[in-house]
Amino acid sequence: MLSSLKFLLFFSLIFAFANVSLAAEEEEKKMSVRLGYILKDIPYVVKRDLQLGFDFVTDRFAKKYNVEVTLHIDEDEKKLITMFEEEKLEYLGLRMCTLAKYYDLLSSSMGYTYLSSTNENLQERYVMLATSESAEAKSYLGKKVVMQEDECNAIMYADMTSIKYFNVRYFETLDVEYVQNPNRAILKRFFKQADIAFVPEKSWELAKSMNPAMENNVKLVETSPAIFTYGIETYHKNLPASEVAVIKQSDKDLQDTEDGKQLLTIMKIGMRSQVQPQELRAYIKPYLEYQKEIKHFAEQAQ
Amino acid sequence: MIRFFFKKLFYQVYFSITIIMVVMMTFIGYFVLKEQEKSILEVMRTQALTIAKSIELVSADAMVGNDQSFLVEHNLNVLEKSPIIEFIVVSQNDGESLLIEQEHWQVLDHLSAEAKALEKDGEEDSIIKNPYDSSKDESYYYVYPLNFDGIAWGWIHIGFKLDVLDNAYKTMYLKMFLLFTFVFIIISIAIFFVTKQIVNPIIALSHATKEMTRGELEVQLISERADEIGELTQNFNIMAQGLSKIQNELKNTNAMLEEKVALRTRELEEINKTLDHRVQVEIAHRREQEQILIQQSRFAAMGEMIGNIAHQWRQPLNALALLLQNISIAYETGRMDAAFISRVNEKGLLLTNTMSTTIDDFRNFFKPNREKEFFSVDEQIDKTLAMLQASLDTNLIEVKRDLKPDLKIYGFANEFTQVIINILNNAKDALIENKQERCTICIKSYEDSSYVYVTILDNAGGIDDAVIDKIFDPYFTTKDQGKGTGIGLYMSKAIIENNIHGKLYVKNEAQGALFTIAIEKNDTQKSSFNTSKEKK
Ligand SMILES: Nc1ncnc2c1ncn2[C@@H]1O[C@H](COP(=O)(O)OP(=O)(O)O)[C@@H](O)[C@H]1O
Ligand SMILES: [Mg+2]
Repeated sequence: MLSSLKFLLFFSLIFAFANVSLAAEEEEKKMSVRLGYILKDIPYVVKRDLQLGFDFVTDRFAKKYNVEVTLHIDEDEKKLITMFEEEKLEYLGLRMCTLAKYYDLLSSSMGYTYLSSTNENLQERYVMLATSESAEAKSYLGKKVVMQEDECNAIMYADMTSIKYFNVRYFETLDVEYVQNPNRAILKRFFKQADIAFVPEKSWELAKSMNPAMENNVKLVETSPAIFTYGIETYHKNLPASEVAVIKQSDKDLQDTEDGKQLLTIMKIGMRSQVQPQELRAYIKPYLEYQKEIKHFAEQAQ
Repeated sequence: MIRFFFKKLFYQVYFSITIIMVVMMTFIGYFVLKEQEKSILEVMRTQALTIAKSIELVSADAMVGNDQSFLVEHNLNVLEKSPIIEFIVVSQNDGESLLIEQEHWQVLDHLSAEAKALEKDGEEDSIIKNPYDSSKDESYYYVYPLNFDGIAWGWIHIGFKLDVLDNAYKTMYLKMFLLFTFVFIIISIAIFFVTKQIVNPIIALSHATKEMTRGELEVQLISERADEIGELTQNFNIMAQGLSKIQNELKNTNAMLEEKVALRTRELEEINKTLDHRVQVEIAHRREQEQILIQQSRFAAMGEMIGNIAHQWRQPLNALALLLQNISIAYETGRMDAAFISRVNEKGLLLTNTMSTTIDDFRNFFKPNREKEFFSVDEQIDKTLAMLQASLDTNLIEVKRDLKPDLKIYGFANEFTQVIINILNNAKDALIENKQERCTICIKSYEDSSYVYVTILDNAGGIDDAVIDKIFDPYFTTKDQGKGTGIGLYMSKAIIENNIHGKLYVKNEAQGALFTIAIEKNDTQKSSFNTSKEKK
């Protein structure tokens, strides 16, 4: 009897408390953050768990900071970038290679910015894998190439290699097949479904570890110089300071709280660090040079 | 300790029921577990089938199109998502096989014989040692056929880690164990109470009966039970009441009886006092009678002795009379010289000496109460015969004597002589009455290991069967007044049985009565007899 009375008392206390806090929340004007992601710029491994990650953000994180979060994912990179410029998005997530393409346009509207990576590797090299019979890059003219779809770094490396050896753009010299992921590209090479594969070095290392017999059939021809492969997360510079403060706090919490850590795991974000927009030019230098090169090549061609 | 434990009814019942229950539970448990194991395997099979089917569905195009890269990648993904799978093999009929393991894969030229053996007509499963990795243990191995458009393309082999199965078994066993323990405890408690219910009334009854044996009959047990035990308790109570009632009645009767007994005792004491007096009178009377009897027997014996002396004397008296006649004739004829006188004198002295000896013999016989002693049977009989010689001769009775020398009897020699005289006199009387051509009395002595026997057999025709049982009675006689007293045999029997520890009995032989005196030997006599026998 006594215990049930206690229980009732406890229950009504909780109820009263909850009502007060709810009332307090309603008074504040809700902050709204619109997130924009370029579809190809979302890493393959993240895409699979994107919905889960976003649910986590809206359910736990956003509620905690009293933020209303909306998500915009689009294939059209130009459209999203324009939206960001016009302040129709508070946030934009993209790759370095995309940033390099629109750097002049974007840099003026970028505010609070983060670098993020799916792993601790700061830099990545790319490799060109070919048949074992020949190690000469020149002999691959017109051969079948396999690469990961939308892998701008691999494409960039393939393109540069093509320009270097054959003096043509890669899609002009090679029969290109795009696959979902680099592992598949290596497997295709192994099973002789393609002659050349351009893949990240780490994928090749993994493939070798999974089947050492690979090397009998697959030859590493060349390795690219190291390039940064970070993702960029940027908030518009015109966000009010109060909102920036909330965002800064939530970003800090992302690394410090249990919920945050869990979200980072879901989104496969292994590393995250703040960066000044103007500092980014150093990171994207190889991309900028490549942009220059293909521009130059195009001009030459005309 | 344990035996004591199991002597208690409670523990016997409790443990019996518990053991039966445990056996039953084990039995049921065994079957349930077997079924569970089967169903776990069934679940495993279903799971394997699902995975194989999904692989088939997703990879059908790749298989038909020979896109091995897809097969490798897809199966690596499958493995990544299902850690319980140890390996997948996609084997193409008449082609290469792909072995995909966790984070590893390879092209196999050919399958191991064990795995190949499972590729039969359809799905197949078995628990075998991992044929692709010798460092691994057994796995659940599942084989699924791949058919596309009716063409047998190949097979999918899936190996599951056995620890999944083991864990399932473990959980199952644990669950069963917990369930059984729980049930066991509950049932044990139930049995405990049931046993108590059954046994307690019995124990109570036992205690009650114990109390009853101690005399506490007012025991009453309380039982509200309607079953047999309740009935038993009721019956016990009724019995206890009954017994108690009977005891009370007994007590009353006892008291009454005691009173009566006391009364009787007093009466008896009174009677006793007077009785004592009467008995004493009676005993005195008896003694008197006995005295008279002894007296009479003495007289009788004396009478007979005197008869015998008369017979003994008759011959020397006649000779003396002749001698005296001879003296007077010699005087008349003048032949009385000195030589004649001395011859007569000598003859006369000889005769009177003989008569004197006879008197002495009889006097000795009548000298009573001498010490008990060992006496020689043949010597004593010879003496007796010598005393009776004259009277036997007169009646032309021949005595045949067959006496074993050196037989000894312990007792009063006189009394023994008196018995022999009695029997011989009776035989003589019977022979006189029943004249025979040759009157004989055979007197014989012999022994066996425990007795010395003396038998006296006459040829006077025996004793009439009608009276043979009475001849040892006092005052029984068939002889005329003044001749027989009926005391002789009575006294003889008394002497033999009371004073010499022997027996005297009679039976009729063909020619006459046979009297037997059997005297028990003492221990030394017995042993000497035995040793002498052994010597022979
Ligand atoms: N040898 C015997 N033969 C036949 N009868 C006998 C003999 N001895 C004893 N009796 C019978 O036993 C009876 C009892 O004998 P006993 O007691 O000596 O008394 P008594 O000689 O005075 O008659 C005799 O009267 C006689 O009838
Ligand atoms: Mg007699």
